[in-house]
Amino acid sequence: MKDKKWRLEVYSFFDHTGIARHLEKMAEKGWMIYKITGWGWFYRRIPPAQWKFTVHYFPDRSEFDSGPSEQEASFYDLCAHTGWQLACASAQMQIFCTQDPHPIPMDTDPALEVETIHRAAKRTMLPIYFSMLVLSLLNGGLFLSRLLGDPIGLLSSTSALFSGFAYTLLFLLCVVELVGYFSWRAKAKKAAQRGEFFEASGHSWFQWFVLYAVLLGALCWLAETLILGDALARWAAGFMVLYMVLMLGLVNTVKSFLKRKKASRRLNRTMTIVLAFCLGFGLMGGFTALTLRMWDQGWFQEDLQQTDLPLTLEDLVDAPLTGYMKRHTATDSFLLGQKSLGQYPSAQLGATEDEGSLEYTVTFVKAPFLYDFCKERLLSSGEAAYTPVPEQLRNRYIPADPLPWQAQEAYQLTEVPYGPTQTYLLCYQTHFVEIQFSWVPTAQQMEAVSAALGSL
Amino acid sequence: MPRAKFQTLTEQMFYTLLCLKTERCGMDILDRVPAMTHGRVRVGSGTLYTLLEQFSEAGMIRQTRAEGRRRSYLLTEKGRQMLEEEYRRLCAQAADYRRIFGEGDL
Repeated sequence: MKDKKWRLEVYSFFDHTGIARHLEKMAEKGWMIYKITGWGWFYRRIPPAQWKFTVHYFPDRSEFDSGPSEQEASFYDLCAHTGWQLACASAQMQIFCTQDPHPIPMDTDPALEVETIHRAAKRTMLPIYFSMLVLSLLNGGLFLSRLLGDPIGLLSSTSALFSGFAYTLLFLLCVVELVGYFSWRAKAKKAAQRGEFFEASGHSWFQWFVLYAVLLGALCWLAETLILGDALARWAAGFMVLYMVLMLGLVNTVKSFLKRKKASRRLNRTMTIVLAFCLGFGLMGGFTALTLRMWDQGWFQEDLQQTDLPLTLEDLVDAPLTGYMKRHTATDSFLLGQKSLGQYPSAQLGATEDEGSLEYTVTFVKAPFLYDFCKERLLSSGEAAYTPVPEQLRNRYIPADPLPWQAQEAYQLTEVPYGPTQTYLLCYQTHFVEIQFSWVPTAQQMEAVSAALGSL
Repeated sequence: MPRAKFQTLTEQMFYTLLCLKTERCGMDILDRVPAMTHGRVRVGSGTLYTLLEQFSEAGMIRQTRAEGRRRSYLLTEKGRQMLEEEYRRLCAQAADYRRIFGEGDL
């Protein structure tokens, strides 16, 4: 039977009554809190009993403190004198417990309690939530700008969709917590004028929802990248996971180590911030340099050459080609999917003759209601590909004969004033193909395109 | 209307200051206040700690001794004046009550 237990608990900073109630229930079940860290709450087994808990905030306490200050120790003595024993402390939050069924409450003046909580909140909770609110708003702006500029790219990327979802949730979380806090504070101040306490009510269910949603988003992003991504994307995703683990692990380890060594608050804070800064930039810089070197050595290109393209230049010219480089990127979501593929002659790979190049993008429509929207966007984005130009000089997608392509509709891009190009937009039942040739395709080649890409 | 800080004193503030007419440490105050008021007023340890901090900052009390973690405090002249003001305010309230209802209704 385990004597210790770890749990991830999520509470609003100011929900001191909710935390106390939860800990009382845990004690009734035989679990006493003994440590709170950034990784979770830790309990040790005790004989199940009725305990009273109270949460007090110590505004001057910092998470970089190696132990209780003299003032805190004096405070603990006062608490012990009224029967309250310190169960654990996490930065400003101090949790006390007693087995006295009718103890003198730790806070007997409601106005002072509100004031103390606010002083603590001003030092940690409020700056953190306001910073996250600004961050979520900035990311929301980027998301919206991409939604307006490249909606298909965004809607076909699970990571982009979940990133937008996660930042929306972060924004809502900040709003819920900040509004919840200030609303509680206003009511608590009013109640204090009548000499009454006003119980805090947090929104832990919403915090749980946000936590699970963000975890799910991260998993989806990782899965999408590992399954659909090319070697470079997989390498980058692997690095990002390692980066996060290293950053969190090393920064927390150093902070804990300095605490154990009784380093001063200032030294610990400075070292932790410097380490986080250096690690953040150092790792990212090292990763970029390493990736560039690997790219130069052909690490990722080799993987690309092994990729099977649904349509290759060989299918069209009916001759073996050497020294051609392939390009393949893919994104996928529950709404749309997009594959961007290509084949080019590469002097680096020893191309001896130029048989032209081939480039095509396939957009899969998984949500039928997006079909017309995608068609419009693909037509307009193709026409706007070489903007900015005056309206009368803009490229035009001109309807073309869909029969040779076995498509429902076909369009050919015309450059003003040069005339038709060899770029086509082909509309199939569930997907679109934008294909660009460096020569005029023959009827046979159109049929080959239809055979390869028409029934994907 | 929110109360301006220390313009009027709550019961807990009043009795905490009153205790510090003679030098006392926090634990003495925790015991002394209920004893003075026959258990009517009790000061919690969290509230007392904050009060002592705020009274010190406002110059109403001063720390006289620190024996290890035990700190002793004493009322200052400013604190004494505030106590007197509060006493006069309470007396005025009591006098107003007597004027309206007389001693007989007590």
